[in-house]
Amino acid sequence: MQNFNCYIYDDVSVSTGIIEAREWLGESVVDHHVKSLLLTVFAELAQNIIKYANRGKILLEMTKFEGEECLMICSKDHGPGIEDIEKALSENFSTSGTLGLGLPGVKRIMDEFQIDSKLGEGTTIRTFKYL
Amino acid sequence: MNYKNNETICNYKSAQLLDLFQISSKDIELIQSAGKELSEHLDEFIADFYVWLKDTEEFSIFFSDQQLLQQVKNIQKIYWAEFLEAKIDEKYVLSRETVGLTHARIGLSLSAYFVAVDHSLFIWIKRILGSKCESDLDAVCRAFTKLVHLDTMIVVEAFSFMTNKTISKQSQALMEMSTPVTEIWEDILMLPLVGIIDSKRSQDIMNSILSKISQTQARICILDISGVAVVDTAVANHLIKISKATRLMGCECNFSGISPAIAQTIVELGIDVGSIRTNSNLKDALNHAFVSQGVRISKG
Repeated sequence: MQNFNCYIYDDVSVSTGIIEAREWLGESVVDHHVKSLLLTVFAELAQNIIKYANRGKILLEMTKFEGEECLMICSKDHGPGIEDIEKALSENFSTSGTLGLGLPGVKRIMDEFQIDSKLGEGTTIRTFKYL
Repeated sequence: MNYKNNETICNYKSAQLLDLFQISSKDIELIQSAGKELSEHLDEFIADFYVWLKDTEEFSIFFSDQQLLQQVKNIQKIYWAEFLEAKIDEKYVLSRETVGLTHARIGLSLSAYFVAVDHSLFIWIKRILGSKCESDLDAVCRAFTKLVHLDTMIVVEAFSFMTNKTISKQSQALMEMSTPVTEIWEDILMLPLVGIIDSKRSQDIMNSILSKISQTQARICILDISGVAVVDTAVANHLIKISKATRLMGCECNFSGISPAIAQTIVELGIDVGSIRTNSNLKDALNHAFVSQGVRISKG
């Protein structure tokens, strides 16, 4: 199964990305609820790229995490980076005036969550959902 | 399509273009001095070009009209005369933009245009190499190539300008089609939402609902979101804002079509929906609207 690589650079690319991701997930994830949740994760991460880094990419890949079959959603950008990761992951914290539920929501929906951010270099978020 | 309203078509000024293609004043001199001789043979160039163009597929599509063909040839002659003069200023850029817009408007593909440019360049280089020009021929060829490519770039910019314009018109049309707020009963409005909701679209939804409320004095508005592709925090935020705004106008907003998947997503995201009225399907939402408005439906 091919990976799905999606470049995010404006609002339209987020919308078309969601549609393409839905198609891609349609082939690999059977459960309708899980698909809806994963699509939401995709949308949150894409939204964050636009809000904070202007451009970046999201990768969807069937992979293994500690030996178990899972789906990885990885977002990568070369934006300003996150100043305080712990704060960014806490509920209702936002530096952009939005709800501040995106990242903590993503963390709750996914089974594994890794975040790697360096100030001035960018942010990489790897998330996994067991299938 | 009205295509020129002082909008920026090419994103570069003439000086930037010269810079990008590293066209120096020496290059310009070379083109101008070679141009003196070559411009006397413009008619031959045009003739050569049309010998080639006659055999292409585009020729029969775009140039079957003799009168039009003659017009195009004249315009083309002016185009190359400008080229050989090599006076690269804003007027020059504008003339190339017009060329691009014209080609895009008649539906000639960029690929076909590019092939034609390549052939023009081929004819010019053949002529330069066969000319009595005393300058360094390699340098003249290089200068010609650079300027031809500069021209082409402006044309490409004009093509993409037209494409973007078409796309934005289409999406505008789609947007207007996709927010059909309808009065389905006295005091009751209904809006089915489908597809993807971004901030621009949610603003449109907000506007059309609020203006419909002020028109109809509706008390209840049902938004059916069963067809919405993704509900994430941004979409939820938009929906909450819409419901707050309608309430300010005295109209209760009721969201219907909350599927199991969407319900689960909203809970997982931790969105507070305390103040929002929701129903799992449109039937329940309508029923609730009737009850709260004191409408009684009976069979027979």
